[in-house]
Amino acid sequence: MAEPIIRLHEVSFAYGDELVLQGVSLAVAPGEIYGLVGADGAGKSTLLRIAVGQLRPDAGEVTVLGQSYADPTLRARVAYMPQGFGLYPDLSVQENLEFFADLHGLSKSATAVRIRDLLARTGMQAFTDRRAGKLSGGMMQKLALACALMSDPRAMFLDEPTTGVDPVSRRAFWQLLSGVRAEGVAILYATANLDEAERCDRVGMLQDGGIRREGTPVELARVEGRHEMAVSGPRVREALPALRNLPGVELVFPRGRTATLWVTDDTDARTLREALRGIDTQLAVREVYPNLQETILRQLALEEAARG
Amino acid sequence: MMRVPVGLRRLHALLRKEFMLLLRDPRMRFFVVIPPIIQLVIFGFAATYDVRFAAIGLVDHADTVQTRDLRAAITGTTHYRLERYTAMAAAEQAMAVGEIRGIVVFPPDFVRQPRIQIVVDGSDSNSAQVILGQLARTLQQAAAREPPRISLAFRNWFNPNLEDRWYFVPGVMATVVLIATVSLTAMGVVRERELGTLERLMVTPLGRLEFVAGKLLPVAAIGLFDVALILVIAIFGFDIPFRGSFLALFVGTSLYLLSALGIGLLISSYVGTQQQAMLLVFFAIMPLVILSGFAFPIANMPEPVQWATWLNPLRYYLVIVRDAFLKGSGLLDYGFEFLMMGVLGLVSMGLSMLRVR
Repeated sequence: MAEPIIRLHEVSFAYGDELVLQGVSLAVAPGEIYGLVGADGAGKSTLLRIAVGQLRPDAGEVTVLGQSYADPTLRARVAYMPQGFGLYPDLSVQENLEFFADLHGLSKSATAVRIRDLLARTGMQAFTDRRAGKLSGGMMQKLALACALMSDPRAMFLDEPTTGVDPVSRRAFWQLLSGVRAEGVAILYATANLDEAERCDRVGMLQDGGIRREGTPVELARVEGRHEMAVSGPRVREALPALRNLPGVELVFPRGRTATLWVTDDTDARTLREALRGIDTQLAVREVYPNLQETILRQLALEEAARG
Repeated sequence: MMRVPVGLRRLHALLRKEFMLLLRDPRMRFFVVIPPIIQLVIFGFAATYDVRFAAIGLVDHADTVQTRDLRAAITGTTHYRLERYTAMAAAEQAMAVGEIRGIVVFPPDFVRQPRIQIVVDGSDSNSAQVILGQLARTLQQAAAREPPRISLAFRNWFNPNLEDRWYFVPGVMATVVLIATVSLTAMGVVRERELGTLERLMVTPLGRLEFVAGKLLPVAAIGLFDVALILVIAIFGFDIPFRGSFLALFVGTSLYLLSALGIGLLISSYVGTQQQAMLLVFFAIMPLVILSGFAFPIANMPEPVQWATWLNPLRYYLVIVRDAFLKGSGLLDYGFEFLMMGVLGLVSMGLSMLRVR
């Protein structure tokens, strides 16, 4: 992995007596989107605010581009999109962009070039005079991203930027973000949506104040010692008790005419198919590519069940 | 070509943004212009202790040349309208039902023993005091013309006719500026927080001092605009003389604004929403106005409360602004007031700068 641009080391933070983060460490490389995933209240926003220097950690260290926020010049090379809109609804698209360009000290000519480029990338050329408050949710987030990109940052911190945005606009937003990633920007992306986490290069699951699991979405979706099989057929529901008792089957999750089985690694499709012949000859078996969202939700359900 | 420092360019961007938002918002435009005018009208016309054409009962048992002269002296002012009663009981009844607000009684032996009885309706203590004072004065002046002549010389300096509006309108200037600047500052900063823009701005090269200056300078400009607006209306609309120094008023206003902006900024650092900001502004402004000498003399307040008023910038500005209108004092007469407002301004600004994040 290339030298990380964003690095958090053993960061701890408490609001009064309430410990929110405990020994959190993570690193984001250039051209990498790191998905910080966790339920509401898990501490994602707090961690991002620490990462952008808005909160001082009780312990641990934050460095971006090898610098700490004690160096004020660092803020010129990072961009932050907090939760919510974060722009001026009564200013037009153009005025919002110009304002952020001025804050970053861009010259008039550089501002014009940069704004033209960002408007083209976001497809907002036709909306320059529209008040930001009158834009659709998806457009607002594109504008917020454009304003964040005004400074040509090397590190970006995005706090649930697509909350409340429709799926089509969300896809467009992610296309934009992929372009930013391709430019070598390190992106720390907080989200509660596991389907968004699957678009990230690496994901850290923030739970109980710490990163409980970390890896690529594929790595996280694969549960050690287990893999998934889908069994389908017209009478799959009647077959559920028998499926649960098959050798190598650990868990069964029914959905409609399909049941997803978590099976041990030594149980392959052929073994299972043979075992199913004795239950229902119409049942079909296929291997399933693991889905992060499903896996996480099932693991959480299992953990909850184990806790009673 | 000279290169403008980048900090100044950022400040310029913030100021431009603030003025654009301010001028585009019809509620803000209203807030800057209309409340000062409404307050001026209220305090210039309606809020007055002056008594005009008050109904006064007259019971003249003597009915002599002298009493007729004294009656004429009373009716010769615009303060009273005399209602004549033949018996004291009838006059008392009229006052009991609120038809008249006082009674002047000339006894039957007035020629031999010239005494006058004045009875006033004390249920409205303010008006009662004013009526009593004005009646006594009018009668004393008229009596002084009767033999044996008694010479009484009355002169009111700075406000010869004791016009309440001369006293209140300059005070309105001070309170309007306080209300406008404290609320606009508190609301402006909190709105940035509500929008999420404050959080975003703090992760740009914008410094804390630049941000604060960018938020406060437009509000200070509004404060100065309100002062100018009230000054013009007071001088040309209400005919209140301006005898003092514009420079003293400007310096005083600037230091006063420093305190008011500091208070607004301090309030903004304690609240999270604009509603909370408005409530806190209300709770801060009320005691500041009451404990300033705007309506009630500070000397009449209990001693510990008088000490508390030392922390009130409005107290000092009221002295400057009233003197500027009526007394004609100059820049050098207000060293203490300037010092106190400067200290209070720096303290409130310093505290709020520490808290603004």
